[in-house]
Amino acid sequence: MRFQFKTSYDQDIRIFRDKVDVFWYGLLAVLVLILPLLLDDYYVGETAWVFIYGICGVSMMVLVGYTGLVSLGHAAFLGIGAYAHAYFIQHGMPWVVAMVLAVALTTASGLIVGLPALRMTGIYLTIATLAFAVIIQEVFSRWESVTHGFAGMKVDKPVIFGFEFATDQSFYYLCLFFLVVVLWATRNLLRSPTGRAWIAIRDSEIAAQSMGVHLAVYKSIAFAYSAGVMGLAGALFAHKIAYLAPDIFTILLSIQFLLLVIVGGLGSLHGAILGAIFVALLPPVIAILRDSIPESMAAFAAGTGLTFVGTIGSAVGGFLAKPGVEAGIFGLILVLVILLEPLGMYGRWLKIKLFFSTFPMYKAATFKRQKSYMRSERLR
Amino acid sequence: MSLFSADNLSINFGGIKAVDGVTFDVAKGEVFTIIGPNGAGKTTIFNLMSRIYEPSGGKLVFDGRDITNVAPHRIAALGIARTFQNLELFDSSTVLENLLLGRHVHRRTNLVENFLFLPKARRAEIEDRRAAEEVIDLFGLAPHAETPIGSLSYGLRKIVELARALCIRPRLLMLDEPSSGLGAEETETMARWIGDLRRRMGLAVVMIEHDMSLVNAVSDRVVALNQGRIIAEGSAAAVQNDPEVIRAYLGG
Repeated sequence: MRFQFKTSYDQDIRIFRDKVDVFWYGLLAVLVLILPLLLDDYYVGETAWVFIYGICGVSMMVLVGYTGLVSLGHAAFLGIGAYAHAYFIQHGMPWVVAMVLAVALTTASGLIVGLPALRMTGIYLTIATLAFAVIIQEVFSRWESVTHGFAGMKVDKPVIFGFEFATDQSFYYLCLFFLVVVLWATRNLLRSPTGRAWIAIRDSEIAAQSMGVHLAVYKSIAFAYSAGVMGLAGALFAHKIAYLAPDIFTILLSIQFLLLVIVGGLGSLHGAILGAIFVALLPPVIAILRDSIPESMAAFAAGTGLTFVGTIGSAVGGFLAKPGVEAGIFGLILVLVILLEPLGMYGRWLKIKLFFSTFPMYKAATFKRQKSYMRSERLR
Repeated sequence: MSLFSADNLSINFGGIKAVDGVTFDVAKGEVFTIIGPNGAGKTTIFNLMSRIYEPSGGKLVFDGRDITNVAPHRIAALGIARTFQNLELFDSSTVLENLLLGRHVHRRTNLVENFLFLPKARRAEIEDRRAAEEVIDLFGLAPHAETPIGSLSYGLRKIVELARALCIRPRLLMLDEPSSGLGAEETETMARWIGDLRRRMGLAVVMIEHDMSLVNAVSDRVVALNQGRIIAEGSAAAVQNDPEVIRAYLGG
């Protein structure tokens, strides 16, 4: 077990807790920096997806995981960011200006959605965000002068200060840069009164209010910030996907974002990243299994003469190739996570870590949900 | 000169007058206790005082200022802190983080400074932690400072909630049943804290309490409430022996 001796207040505030943390995060940084040199182009591209989903995850985590406001409309913010960025670039604006404007526009739209949402809580708020997303999707398909509707909108590779991010490798670093910036800024907010106010609102609105937290202001900040970060992800998303169409930004995408933070683990930035890895890498993993399972099992069958193994292999491969299986697996995993590991992947990681750090003394009950005492009625 | 006064305070929920023309005042450094049977309107008075409920009539004055129309989130900044009957702590956070929220009203950095975590934000953050630590030391919570609320005993949670309220540096402290859920010994500790706070910091305390041993130990003045109306006022002993109060509790 690693004990941390505190000798200064600064220790609580630092981004990295101690030297051991610095070492591990440093190692991770080196790994993600040299990764494009080690992997095929295809996998570099998939890892860039992890980073973009990671930014989306941070956006969702701020709103859902920290402020406790569940949104089913974040695909709309992603879409606004993507379309705005693509539109501004098409109209000759420099990349950085287009990006800043896209983020500003999404932030503003988050604020506008947030304002009526202040009066709603729980499921009503979620329904309102869902309605917003449906409206926005309709706008994407009808406002053809800007979005080109279902004809789609082509997005070129990003060109920043004359440098074209044409290769998968260069785009990988661009996404990584923005993910790190977003993580840093979000961490700053979380270690300041803003983040504590969000958590306070999530855990007890009435107590937060009586401690002097202006609920409407901090909920609006959460909404606007979350939307802005989503808009940033949208700009990168537009380049990554290269061709925007309204049917990308559907409710399914919003659900995927929600799944991302729940599977990753609500209430931690680690969870946003772990969830992003999961959501971004599950489809390619399924695709790989779809091809490799029948092949390897057929090879095994040919080698041993056990023909039924080959039959099973091709059956599994056929099943994985069916349309909708991917969504089904996503749904199944979501159900299993909520049932078996409500703290998500990050919660599971904490348990594994605690198991080894306290090795023979691990108590399974450490993470058991504490008996909850009666709480006074929510007043608002 | 009274620190806080409620003048003819009333609130109706539909046809029910939950609080009906209640008038009282609290002097600086005084422990003022409200007792009464269940449903008498005690917590409703607290929620009116912290502006969570909108009164249907009457006036609230704090430190010579009319606060009847002040927004609820401004109450803390004025110097009024409260605890809750069934605890309203931020369960997933640690004791320290809970206490830091008490510093929210004292924070002078803006969103941009926090966002970029400029040196000013860092200094303010350190200052907040120093102030919270003073309160942690005062209550001997140091061993639990990094513990999440979820794994603390109920008695400790009560203390943490009291400590969090104190981080606001209030002049008026509202305690909603500080002894509920506590054992006899823990209640004694609570009584000692309340006495201490009043003596050392000159706090005025308004308290709702059922445990008569605690009421007798710390109260300067007691009012008894029944069906939204004050039925007796005076010393702890006098109120408990008031025939009207006995009738309210025992029926008849």
